[in-house]
Order: sequence, then C-alpha cells, then structure tokens
Amino acid sequence: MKRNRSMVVAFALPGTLLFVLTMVYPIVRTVFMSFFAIQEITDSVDKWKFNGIGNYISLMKNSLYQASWINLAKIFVIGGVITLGVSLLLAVILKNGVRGRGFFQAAIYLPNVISAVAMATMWIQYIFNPSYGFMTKFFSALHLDSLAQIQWLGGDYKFWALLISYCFGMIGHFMLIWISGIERIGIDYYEAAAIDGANKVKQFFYITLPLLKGIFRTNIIMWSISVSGFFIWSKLFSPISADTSTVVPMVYMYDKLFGAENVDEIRRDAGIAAAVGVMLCLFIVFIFTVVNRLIKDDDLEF
Amino acid sequence: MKRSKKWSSIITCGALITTLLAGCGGQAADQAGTTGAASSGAGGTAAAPAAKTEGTSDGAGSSGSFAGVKLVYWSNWESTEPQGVVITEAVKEFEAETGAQVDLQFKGRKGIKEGLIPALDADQQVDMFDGMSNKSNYGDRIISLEELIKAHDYEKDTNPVLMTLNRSYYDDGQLHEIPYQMKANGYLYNKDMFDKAGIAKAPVTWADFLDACQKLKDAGYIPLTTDDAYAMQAFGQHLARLIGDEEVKKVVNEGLWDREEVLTAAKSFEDLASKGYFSPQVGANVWPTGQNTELATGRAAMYCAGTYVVNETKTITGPAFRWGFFAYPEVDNGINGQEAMVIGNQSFAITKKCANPEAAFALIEKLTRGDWDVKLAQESLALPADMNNESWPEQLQEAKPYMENCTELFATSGGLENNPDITPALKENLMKLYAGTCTAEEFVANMLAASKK
Repeated sequence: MKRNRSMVVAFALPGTLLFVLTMVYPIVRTVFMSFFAIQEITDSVDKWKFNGIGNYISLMKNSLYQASWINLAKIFVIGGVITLGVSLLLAVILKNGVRGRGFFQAAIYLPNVISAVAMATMWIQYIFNPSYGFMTKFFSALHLDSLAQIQWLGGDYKFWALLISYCFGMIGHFMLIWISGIERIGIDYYEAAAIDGANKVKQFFYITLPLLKGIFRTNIIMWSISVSGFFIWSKLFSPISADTSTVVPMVYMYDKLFGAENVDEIRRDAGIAAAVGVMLCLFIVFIFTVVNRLIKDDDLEF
Repeated sequence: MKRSKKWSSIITCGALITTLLAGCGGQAADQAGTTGAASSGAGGTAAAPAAKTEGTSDGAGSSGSFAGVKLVYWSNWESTEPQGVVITEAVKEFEAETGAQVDLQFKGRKGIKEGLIPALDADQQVDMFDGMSNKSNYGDRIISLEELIKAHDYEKDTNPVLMTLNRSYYDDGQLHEIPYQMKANGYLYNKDMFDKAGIAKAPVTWADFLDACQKLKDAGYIPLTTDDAYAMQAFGQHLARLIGDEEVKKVVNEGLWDREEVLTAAKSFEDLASKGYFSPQVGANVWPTGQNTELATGRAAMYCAGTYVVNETKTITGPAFRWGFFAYPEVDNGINGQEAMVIGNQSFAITKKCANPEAAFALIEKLTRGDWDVKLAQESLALPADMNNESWPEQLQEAKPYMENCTELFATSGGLENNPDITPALKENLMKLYAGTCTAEEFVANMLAASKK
C-alpha cells in the first residue's frame, strides 16, 4: 500500500505540535529555569539572572531539602515494601477462592475512591488523635498503657503515622494491578504443580512470582511516580508550615514557588523550584532505568 | 485524482491546524469571567501594559457616579465565609448606588496566593483584590495609594501603627495596601476558667502568667495548649521580649542559637512543661486539634495565637463562650513591654491594570468605613478597620486597649518565622520542648544542629 506522506503529516502534525507545546516546551523551559535566579514563575526572560548550577548547590547544602529527600527515600523503600508486599499478598489470597472475594476486593480498593483530604483527616482525627483516637482507645481498652500513650502525631512518630496512612490508601490500587497480572497466568500451571505435589506456598514462589516479573516492574515504576508526587498527605499532616518529619521535595518546591506561610517577607524562588522539579524528574528516570536493567521479563513466555 | 488527493490533504491539514490554534489561543485581555488559579506552568510572559477593562471610563469622578465602570474584584475569601457574605452584600449596594458593575470573584486564599501574580502577568484583568497583606509580594503590579488616601482624607481613621506597618512592606515606604480585618496576637483565654480559678486580672508580667497557670492547674484546668502551626508564636514573642524582633531574625537566619537569651527563653518553657502547665497531648497537636478540641471545647484555658481564632472556632464555642485576651507577658530583663506586640491585618489593593482606581478606592472605602466595616467586624468576629467604630465584637473587647496602646510592632512570631528553611526544625523542637520530651539544652543543641553550627 502506498503511503500518502501528506496525510501522515496532516494527522501527525496537530498531535505533535500539541505534545511539543504542552510537554516538551515546559520541560525544556523548566530545565533552563533551574540554571537561573528567578523570583516569579511568570517573570520574563530578561529578568532571569544566570546562576549556573548555583540553585543545585544551594539545594544540596540545605538541611531541610536533604530531610525532604530522606523522607522521600524512606517512603519509597519502606512504603514500597509495605504497599507492594501487602497488596501482592492480598491479591494472591483473593485469587485463591476466598469467600466474598468481590466484597473484599471492593473494600480494599475503597480508600482509592475517597479524597485524600478526607482520608488524611480521618486518620489524623479518628485514628491518631491522642485523646479520642482509635489507637489510644484501643490500647487503653487492652490496658496496654505504654502503647496507648504513644503520641502518633508527635515529632518522633509523625512520619510513621503518615506512612501507615498513605500505604493503607495505596494498597488497593496495587492489589488490582497484581490481580490483573495473576489472571494472565494460566490455571494449567497450577493444576500441573498441584498434581506434582506443590503446595500453595511453592506454587506462589515457583509459578506466580516469576510470572509476575513484568507486573512487578510496572508497579515499582508506578510507585516511584506516585511517591515523587507525594504532596497532599504531607500538607495535611503538617498544615500551614512544613515539618521536618513529613516534608518531601514537592512540598519544598511548592513553598519555594509560592512562598511559605507565616513569614514577614514572602520570598519566592522559581529557579530553585525548577531545580527541585528537575531533580524529581531525574529520580523517576533513574528508578525507571535501574528497574528496567534489573528486572527483565522477556526470558519467560506464557 | 492524484491532484484532488493532494488538495484534500492540504485542506485537512489546514483545518486541523486551525482547530489546534483555536483551542490553544484566546488568552486575550478580556478574561474577567474566568476562574481558577490561572497557573501558567513553566511558561512565562512578560507583564504587558495595562489593558483597559471593557466599559471603563477614565476619571469617572467621585463616588456616587461610576456608571459604566466595570471592576474585576478578586477576593481571598470564600463566598460562604462571613467575610464573603458581607462583601457580596456591600458590593451589591455599591453597584446600586454608583452604577458601577463589579465582577466579584471569590478565589479563596490559595487562589490569590497561587493565581493572582500569574494572572496579572498574563494580562488578565483584575482591578482590585483583597489578600493577606503580603509584604512586597506584588511588587509593581499594584499601585501606590498615597494620593487616593490623601484625596479622601482616609488615613485619620485608621490605626496609625497599622498604616506604618503596611507602609513598611514596600521599599518606597508608600502605602500600597489598605489594612482591614485587623488582628492582634497574644494569649486568648477562657474567661470562665479564669474566674473560677480566681484570676482577677489578665497577666502583665511573666510572674503573673506563672501565677495564673498555677491557679488554673489548681482549679483542675489545663492552663496551656497550642498547635504545631502556632508553636512559634509564644516562644518567638518571649525571645522578642528579651532581645527584640530584629535580633530574633538574626538568630534564625544566622543560626545564633547559642545566644544566652535563647537558652533563657527555652528554660522558661521547660519550666512550664515541667510544672505540667501544658496539655498532656500538646506534643501531638496537629493544627487545628489544640485550637478546636482543647481550647474551644473548654478543656484548656490559654492559647497563644491571633484574634482570628475566635472566628475560626465560633461554631464550636457557641455564643456563650467568654473570650479574653492579653498581650504576651513582659519578661524579666526584657527590653520591651506589652506595648510591643504582633498585630496585622488583611488588606485591599488596586492593581496597575485598573483603569479607574477612584472607583476601586470608593469600594474599598465603603468596605472599611462606617456600617459595612462594623458589619464585617461583627459577622467575622474581627477588629474593625475604622477607628471611629466603637462597636467591637464582644468577644474581642479585651484586645482593644492592647491594640490602642501598641506603639511597637513585632514581626510575625516576634521574627521567629523569618527563615522558612529553619521553621520546620524549630516547630518540631518547640513541640518537644512544650511536651517536656526535650530539655532547654537539648533544644538549643538540636537547633544548632539543624542550622549546621
């Protein structure tokens, strides 16, 4: 069939232009902005002052920014293990003929359809509140006073309270992705394994897990994207001004871009904010590259 | 056949490009009716010359005859908030009286914070706005109001300290924002608890304050609580009493946490914590937990914040709650007294794009003077802007003498929140200090570590 180049151009051009305007241009501009001292995001280019890698250097030296990345790394690694591990476990259990599967699947997914603001408020006010929260009441009822007295929203435990709340909401989402992956695996493999005497645990480690490699890779990348955009939960656990234990790069970027609250002179720095954005982008690219190198799923066909 | 195909390709291509451009375009000046934050992503546009609003007529004369004038007014309130409700009514009356047409848009605090500057820079028409007196934040996007206040003889009816404060926000020393919805910071307290504890007079000195705390504790009340968001206010004002707010700013910006006065202030709070004056849950109070579930519900007696708390908690406290207020107590070896305090305000401003500042100012004057100022203060339980308005909300009566006697201004939290990069560490360590889980020495050491000194 003869290709009509004009038609190809006609159909490809609008989409390409749109992509360049809405995706490529902002990215390129943000990268450029990160090398300049800029007060407002809308400042014209003639107001930009070249700063070389000054924005990156000052960020790397800033203890609050360092804390934000440490928090992000903890959320990524610890939260990732909890979320992906528990969601995989639940997916396997639900795929093994549990009664009321539909109900449990819907119930576990439910937090995903509730606004993060409502979810965080629920956790802060009804679970972790030190006077009437569930944790305090529950442990008091069991006479476990040392556990009941834990101030979950105090400086020492606030990060963990945040992490537990966030992971709780994310498990359902990843569980569904695992389930879709498990459903791709033919029942024949499990039947053959059962005939050969493999129990459920062995079936999981020798059949399910190897055949979920592709899904595993997808989930890690999805998790890294979710985590790098971590913002609302941090803001709700530390309203008005950021907190060392819950600050993440996105919150730091917001405060630099729009100015922190409760200060006498609001200082904005779009150049620094752009540099944070670039580093977050590089974080995702790095995770994507490493995961693609380490986890290959083209060695198995099923 | 081949020729017609070629033509059809060109036409299709042209149509698609036209559609694309039509979809992307249309960001002309007449966007008065658009809503939202108008975030422009990474894109930046140079501030274009002021575009005239449709229907405006330059120099429309004095208030009372602005027929044909259209004003676009962005408000940082929500339409359902008391301030939003009163402003809506006042604007309607203004329209009826003057013939002006006001496009009032409630953007909320975030809408102003995130969207106003991008909107103005993108040549969107906004004639006036109310905001949080954002201290040089708007640069030359808003106009100086000196000539207008002179022409209207406006200044004489506003608290002079607040006029000074608002002039100090701009390098040229001129007034760019008109103050209203004044607030004073200090200790808000439950008068019933004070009465029952036998405290006849609001504390003036630190010794009075300690005495009040002890009496409240003896009467079975929790004397003090706070929230993480306001944790800096008490410590900041305490330190500012000792060294002044300019020195406090130096401490937070230069990491001078090893100054003797910092330890002295920390010791005072360590003392409060060790005597059990703070709520046992204070270390875990994420705003507004302390404010709403301890102060407003009558579990705790005192809360260091601004007078705005009265309005924020009124649905919990109900009308019977008896509020009291006192400025931060004077401390031993301090360099200032209760005449120095944190006060502030919301503000109105007129943008450079406004073609008829006279009309915009007339509306501002309407909202900040006379009946509407009274109504705004009464409905939002705030302090009136007009000094001639004697009818302060009952709940804030005790703040009045402090406001009137204030001659020295402290920066926000006595200057303690001047460095946003150190505020998070400060907040965390202050909450530990208040909760009694860290000593004054540990507080100083932690802050030195956070400042990398």
